[in-house]
Amino acid sequence: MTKRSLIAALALAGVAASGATIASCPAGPQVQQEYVVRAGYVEPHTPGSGVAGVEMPATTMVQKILGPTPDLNRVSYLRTHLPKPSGAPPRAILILVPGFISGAGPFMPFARQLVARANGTLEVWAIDRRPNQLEDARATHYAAERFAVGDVGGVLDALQMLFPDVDAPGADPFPGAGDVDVDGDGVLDPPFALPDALGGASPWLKLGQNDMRFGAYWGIDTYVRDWKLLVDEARSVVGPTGLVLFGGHSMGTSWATVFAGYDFDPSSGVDAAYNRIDGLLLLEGGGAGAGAATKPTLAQYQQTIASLAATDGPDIFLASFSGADLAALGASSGIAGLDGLNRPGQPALLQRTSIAKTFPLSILFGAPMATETIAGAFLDDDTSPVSALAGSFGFSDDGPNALVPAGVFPGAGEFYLLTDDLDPQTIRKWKNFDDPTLPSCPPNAPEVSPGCALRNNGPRPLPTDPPVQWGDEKEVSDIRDALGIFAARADFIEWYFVSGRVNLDFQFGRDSSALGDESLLAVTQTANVNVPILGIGGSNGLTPSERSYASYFGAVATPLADEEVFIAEGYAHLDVLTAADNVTVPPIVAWVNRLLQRKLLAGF
Amino acid sequence: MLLLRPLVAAALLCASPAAATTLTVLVVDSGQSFLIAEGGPIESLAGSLQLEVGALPVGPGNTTLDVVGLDLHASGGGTIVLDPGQPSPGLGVLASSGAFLIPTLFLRLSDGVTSVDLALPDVTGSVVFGPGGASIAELSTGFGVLTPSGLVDVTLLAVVPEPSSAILAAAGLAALVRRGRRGAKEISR
Repeated sequence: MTKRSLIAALALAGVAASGATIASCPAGPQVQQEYVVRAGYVEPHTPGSGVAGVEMPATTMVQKILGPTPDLNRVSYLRTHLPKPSGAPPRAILILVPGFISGAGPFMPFARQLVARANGTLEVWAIDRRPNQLEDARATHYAAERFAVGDVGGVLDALQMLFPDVDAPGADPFPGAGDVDVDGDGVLDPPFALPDALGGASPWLKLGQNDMRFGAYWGIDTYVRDWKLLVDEARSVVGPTGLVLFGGHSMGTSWATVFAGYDFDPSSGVDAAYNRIDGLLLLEGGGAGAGAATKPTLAQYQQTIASLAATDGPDIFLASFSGADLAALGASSGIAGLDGLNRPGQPALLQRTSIAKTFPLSILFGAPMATETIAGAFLDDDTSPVSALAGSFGFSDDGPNALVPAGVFPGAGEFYLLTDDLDPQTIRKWKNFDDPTLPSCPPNAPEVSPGCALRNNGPRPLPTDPPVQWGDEKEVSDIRDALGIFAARADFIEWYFVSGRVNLDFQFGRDSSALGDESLLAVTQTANVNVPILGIGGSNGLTPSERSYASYFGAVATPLADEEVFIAEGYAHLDVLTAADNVTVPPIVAWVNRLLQRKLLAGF
Repeated sequence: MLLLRPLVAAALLCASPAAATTLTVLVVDSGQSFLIAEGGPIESLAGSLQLEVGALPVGPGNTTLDVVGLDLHASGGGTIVLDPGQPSPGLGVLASSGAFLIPTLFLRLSDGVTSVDLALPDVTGSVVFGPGGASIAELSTGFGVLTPSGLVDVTLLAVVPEPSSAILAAAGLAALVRRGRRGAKEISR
């Protein structure tokens, strides 16, 4: 074999090597992703705990989703790994927590690249929080089966299951003004039903607040004890000379830092979480802050938990965000992803449904759109009203775009609204991130349609300056990857974000000492956290400068030399996870290598 | 199954004794360094590598052993260098016994037209120390690469250059340092 043919073979196969022995692997190694569900922390009030007198019953709705005797003390994660030919375990495992109303899905491209780059040395475990198991995803699974055999009508049935036809009030015949006829058959169809876990058939099972009252006990304490199990499992894999790294994206950095500062010993002793990990990776989030100015007293805290646990009490989970039904968004994203993967360039089926015809999505999806466009309009930093969900996935410039100023919608920043050109024969198409004709400003003017995907946000601030976005924006994320994330088993959107107890807990920020009861909440060790920390930001994201991490760095005991920040110019909030050729991967792998070398000095 | 090919190497110490780390340039012995692709001819390897060692003599614990420069040429025309796109591409550890481990070695292979970056996990080998353990006298390592066409086995022998080649080694060192600095990525506090 010549050198040229060797390199061609490597390019085709990927590579693997060992200094000792390696097993035959003719096809070459491939990065693998698998969804893992395992036993979690046994929270006593949770259905399935078996704690007599404390365990709360599962409602019929929950039983229809999970069976007559569900055990909800479970934790799940998306494991990304690349088996070494030698069969040796990885030397490092990175455990990641998703952000606000998000799941493990957005970590998929990032994890694949990290693992491929390290070629088996590193694994990534991306967590889905507990409520994931309560999501009724039958419609998505059914749609996937129908797509697999080319049955678009079956896919419409799945949509009908989630979003049945609507006969709007009025005397006009169905379908008439304001009506929704998902499959276009001219008949008002009932919800489509599928077999459920109790042996019957049921339409989409969407939880009500009273189906999840046990969520009053799903706060930081429960979550971090779930993750401690994963950390301990990871340690058993990599051994004492390997690395267990913990991190998160966006609000996931708050979760990760309260984990690091947690004391698992509720008595007078200390069992600090940071002693179980070897480093913290903070992706587009500055970690937990100081919390609310006025924190609840212990009595107020206990009273709030009791209220949350009571039937018809305050909301357990976040039902909507910016007016959008979160469970419906999560459920529809699965089918929207499948639609985009199977019908590229075709009119999006989701636009036939009531969710797309109801505010706020009726505004966002007002123009007829292709399957990729509906995903882009929702996710892209130029077209999403919510910057926290934004990435740089391309643009749509084949129709009129209206620049909506910040604040027109509550909590929304400036964004482009893709509008209808009133030609019934056309649908808005999406230009992917690598399209060479993506518009930029200049020469375009932002306020003149079609506007621009690319802008310059000014000079880089000094490390001591207040954080501001800066630099040349880049389009780096592939809309097809986004569709794959939508369609994946792991969550893109967390349907039932347990806001009630979590919001209560996060009022204490990174130090809950004032609460005075470590059996309820024990974020008491932040000031002692001394592990290396790497912050990764995007210059067009939420943590665009070194200063974005200053508050947390100032609150911990990590030496200055072990507090590092890398800012990716032009990256938006999601890009650090979704970029197709992610510039944050080499510095993160280098960080892992340095920590690994440090650990191996003790022995190998 | 690939067998690790033990190698024997010699090393040239060329570092300031006052430095906290020791820079060592090794020159590849073409007579004993080679690449064998399954079913293909044996290709000899030439070139040099540069190591940075944390502390010599190695104390009771381990010390760092970083490959900071690599410039290998196969007789078939291919080259192997450190991956310029990966910061810290060759971080490892060295035991007082002489055994070393590089958990992941990041390389770039090229035939002059096409190049491919690859990460080699668990690269092991050993060194023989010079008098008093104050220098590295020999190094040995080897690794295998799996392809659909079969196994490619790389064996590397680096030796202390003869005085006449020391000048070349020094020139190579300078070039490697420049290359390494160009490839470094910024990570700032």
